Amino acid sequence: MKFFQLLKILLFGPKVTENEKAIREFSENAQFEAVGQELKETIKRLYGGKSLRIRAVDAGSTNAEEIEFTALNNAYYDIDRFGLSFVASPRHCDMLFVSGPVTRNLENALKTTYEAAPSPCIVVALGDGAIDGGIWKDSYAVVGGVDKVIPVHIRIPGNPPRPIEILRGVLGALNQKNF
Amino acid sequence: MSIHDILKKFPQVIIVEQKNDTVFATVSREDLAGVVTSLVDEHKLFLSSLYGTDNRKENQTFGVNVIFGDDANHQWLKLSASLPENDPRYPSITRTIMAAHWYERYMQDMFGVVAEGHPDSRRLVNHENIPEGVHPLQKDFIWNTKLEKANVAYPMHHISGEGIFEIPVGPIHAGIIEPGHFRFNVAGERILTLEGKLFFTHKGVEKLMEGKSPKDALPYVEGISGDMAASHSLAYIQAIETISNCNLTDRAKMLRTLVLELERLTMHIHDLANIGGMGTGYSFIAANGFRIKERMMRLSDDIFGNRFWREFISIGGVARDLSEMQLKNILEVSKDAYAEMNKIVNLALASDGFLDRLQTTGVLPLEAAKAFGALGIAARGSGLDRDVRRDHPYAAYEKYPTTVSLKKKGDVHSRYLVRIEEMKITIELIERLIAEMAGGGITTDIEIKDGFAIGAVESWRGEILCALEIKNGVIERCFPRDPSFCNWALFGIMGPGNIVPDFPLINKSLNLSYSGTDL
Repeated sequence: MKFFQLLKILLFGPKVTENEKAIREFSENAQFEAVGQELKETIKRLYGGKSLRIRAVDAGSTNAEEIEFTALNNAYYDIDRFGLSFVASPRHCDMLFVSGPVTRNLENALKTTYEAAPSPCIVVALGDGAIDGGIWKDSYAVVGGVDKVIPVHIRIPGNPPRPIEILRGVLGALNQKNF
Repeated sequence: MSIHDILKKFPQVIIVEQKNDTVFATVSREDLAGVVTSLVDEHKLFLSSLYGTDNRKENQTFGVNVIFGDDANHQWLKLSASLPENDPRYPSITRTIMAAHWYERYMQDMFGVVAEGHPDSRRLVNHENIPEGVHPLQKDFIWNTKLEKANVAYPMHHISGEGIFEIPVGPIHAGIIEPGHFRFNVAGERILTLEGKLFFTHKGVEKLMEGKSPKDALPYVEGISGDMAASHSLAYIQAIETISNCNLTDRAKMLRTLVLELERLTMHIHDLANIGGMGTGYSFIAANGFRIKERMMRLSDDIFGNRFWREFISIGGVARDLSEMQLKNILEVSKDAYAEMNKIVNLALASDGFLDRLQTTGVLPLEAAKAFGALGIAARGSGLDRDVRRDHPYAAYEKYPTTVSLKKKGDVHSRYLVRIEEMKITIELIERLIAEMAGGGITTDIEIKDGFAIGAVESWRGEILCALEIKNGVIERCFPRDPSFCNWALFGIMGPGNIVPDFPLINKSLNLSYSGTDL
């Protein structure tokens, strides 16, 4: 009878997804460091404003950021409905989510990942560490913020930023109704 | 037999003193390996940690410190040997005690101390880009040194033969996980050898903590591994409180226990969803499990203002009191989360396809678990009966003892079942704690003293051991040993014999922290 239990949960389970309109409206008002006009137009031209594929790169985080990235896929945030989704290879991505600080041991890997991604590639620095190194700044083992290694277009602060803040940050910076 | 009785049999060991639950002893560097071997093999003490110290300023020596756990008597033994600064060598412990292998390589990189005869003396934490002769934890190495770029060899094992292929994976993985590099040598789909190269996220935690006041160093401790912030901060703070002879109020002890168990419940739900859903492709389990876990993270956000159960445990107690309403809310949300998750995993366990993936996959034999010093879920899934909550009780665990959940087969399925049972034990404990919550204050005045102590906590991953020395009011040396550090090497045993697509499942069944290992 487990099959019927399974069906029951699938069909009548709780609906928990956050209201899409609320997130969009908030993102339009939000003040985030936006991508340059040129890049914005390129995105629109290339992808028609329909979808963006994201590759997550851990450049030395404490793993809290990765937990929040994973959370973006859960039923509450359901990142796919915005046309955003995580992909397995940098070769398939339009956007890099980088969490940091960038450690010396990962500097090369981050650079290679960026080079492997087709251009233009939007780089989002997520979390205080990725923005300027955070509490790890100047350590012998740390290079610093992501912008020390590759160009950064969007910065979303937080320790780590909450999933809702990541969504608002990305949508707000792109400021595209169609995303 | 107590540690004192055992040490009487070793005339070469000098007992220096006993403070709190730790016995301090010294031994010459020539005798170190022999004594350690005998303590582990004959007297069944566990090699719990091994770390270096730089004492050149005081007495021109480097120190090698081995910490043993005496579970039966709830005690620790710190056995130290001194090496002269102009010849920092000692006979390697790894030749006879496997559990020492990474510690000794780590010490070699960080202090320049040489374990002579180590069977594998390659670099560990220093990658290719670190120049020769750089040892960051030596006292005269400045924390913000800008190192030159180097290209020193960091060879990895490989085997050759007809039809043998090598598959390199990482450091940037396909999933959303932390960075690490794995090298598979395979014949067809079958794994022959598996080796990991870690320490990509090495941020220099230990060095950054040195010279800071115990309070200022707390953010670094919470940043050791984001998903076990509460456990790491508790281990560290317990060490401070033991040094300073601080007695906590009952309410503070119970609130600390509560938050640790909430962290355990959150992450066990995550792991059950991750192994069941992402590991085997039964996405129903992941979709529902991650939804349930999100509720626990939101609970943390509602109460503590962050989603990771952190910034709550503070030196001398807890940072804020929880109201009756908040406690009621915690109980309600976690009980619901448990009930719902239990229903989901029962559905999973009723699926033959699911069991087929889990059973006999990634077997860790008990002998190997003992030899490598496996901790936490990995140990208990293989029948190694260890749990700090019972063996070295802290916070409110003396008053609220937990049952240790044990499974014998050592496969992914066993570790899955251990998590399910622990989730049940945890929710029962949460209920009891909230029902019997003591009243009174939440903080005790504390005057931080100088000295050394060990803080041990059973996090959801396993035993955290924080060895802390305070001198002149600032941190002289802190080695917060994450359970992942001891468990990573287990993959070399668990991987071979399985097929490559089972590796992600085995990996998820341990869910080790890269950041916690790399420090």
